[in-house]
Amino acid sequence: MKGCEEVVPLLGPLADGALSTDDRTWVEDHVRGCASCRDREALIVAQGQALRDALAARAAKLPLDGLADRVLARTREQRAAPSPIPVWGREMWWAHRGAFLSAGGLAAAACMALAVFLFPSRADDELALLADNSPQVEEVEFGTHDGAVLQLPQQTTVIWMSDDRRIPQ
Amino acid sequence: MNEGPKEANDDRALVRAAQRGDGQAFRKLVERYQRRVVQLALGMTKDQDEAMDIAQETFVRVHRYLPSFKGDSSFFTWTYRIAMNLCLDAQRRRGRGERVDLEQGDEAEIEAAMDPPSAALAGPQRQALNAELRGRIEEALSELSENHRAILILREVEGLSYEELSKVLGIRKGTVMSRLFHARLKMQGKLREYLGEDAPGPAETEEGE
Repeated sequence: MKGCEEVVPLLGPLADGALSTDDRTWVEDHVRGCASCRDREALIVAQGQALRDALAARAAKLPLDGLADRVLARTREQRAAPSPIPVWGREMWWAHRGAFLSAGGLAAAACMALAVFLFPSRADDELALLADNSPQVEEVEFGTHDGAVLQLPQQTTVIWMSDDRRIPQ
Repeated sequence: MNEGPKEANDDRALVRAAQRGDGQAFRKLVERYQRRVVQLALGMTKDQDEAMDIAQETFVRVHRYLPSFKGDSSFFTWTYRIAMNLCLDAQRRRGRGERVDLEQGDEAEIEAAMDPPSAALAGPQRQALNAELRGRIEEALSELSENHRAILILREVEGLSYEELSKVLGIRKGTVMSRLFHARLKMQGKLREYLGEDAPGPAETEEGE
């Protein structure tokens, strides 16, 4: 049976129903035989319930009847608002559109070059990974020890744990 | 939130109608999600007036950007993302935008929080303490960093799946697991303080029994 060190980071995902079938099986096996981990999981559940109750109680006291009306009134105001570009602005645009387009093109090119220089990996690191469905491995830190999460297209998640600090039983 | 198939289908039909300019369809979308958005904003800001302002602004922006909504994510995930960004913007304007904790926790705090919950938090007296817990939990929530507050509210209150959390918060799934783990530990640490819990629980273990 695996120890608490490996189980503790997975108690939250267990309570959330977010573990893969394989992981859930061995984590549940451990929890059945370990009172401390049963208490830890129960605390996660109780804490979540207390948070839900507290915020629901506060939100229930707020009058929301007029909210949709206010939102719709504001959207109508926005539709009715005059164009932000005044007539003289449009005239100036047409009179000097060639110069504006040239200047705008140069400025955009400069900004793109600067962005590529300053933030070379951001798009790869965040946007592409979020959109990509190929398997991904992400290193994570769970306090007790480091781990890695393998994300597969079917959303199966596997965590490897290295030996590290001992968790009090 | 565990949006059901019927609700998702309804949403898609209402979104399409609203995109064609049907004001009543848009009203239904607002009314369907307004309480959840207010609840989210309340958890993030604690201030009722500000929460109402954020909710209103959320739906105004939803209306504004609805023509460009392609339905790649569900409507509520998209709406929550707008609401969450507004909450974070509001906090940064007030200078409360500390986001530096991320997934790294203070080592001593993590070790203390990793102690097995003692009787007061997890034993037979837990039921009796539930009211006390509810009273204190908002206070504890407000003391967390905005990243931890956001993920706890979206998961515990709104019931978003890890996949949805990843989309709404713009982070990868492994980071969702790690951040949620640390947020829950921090919250437990705060609650231990409030409930006068500083001693670790009994050292019993049944591992391997």
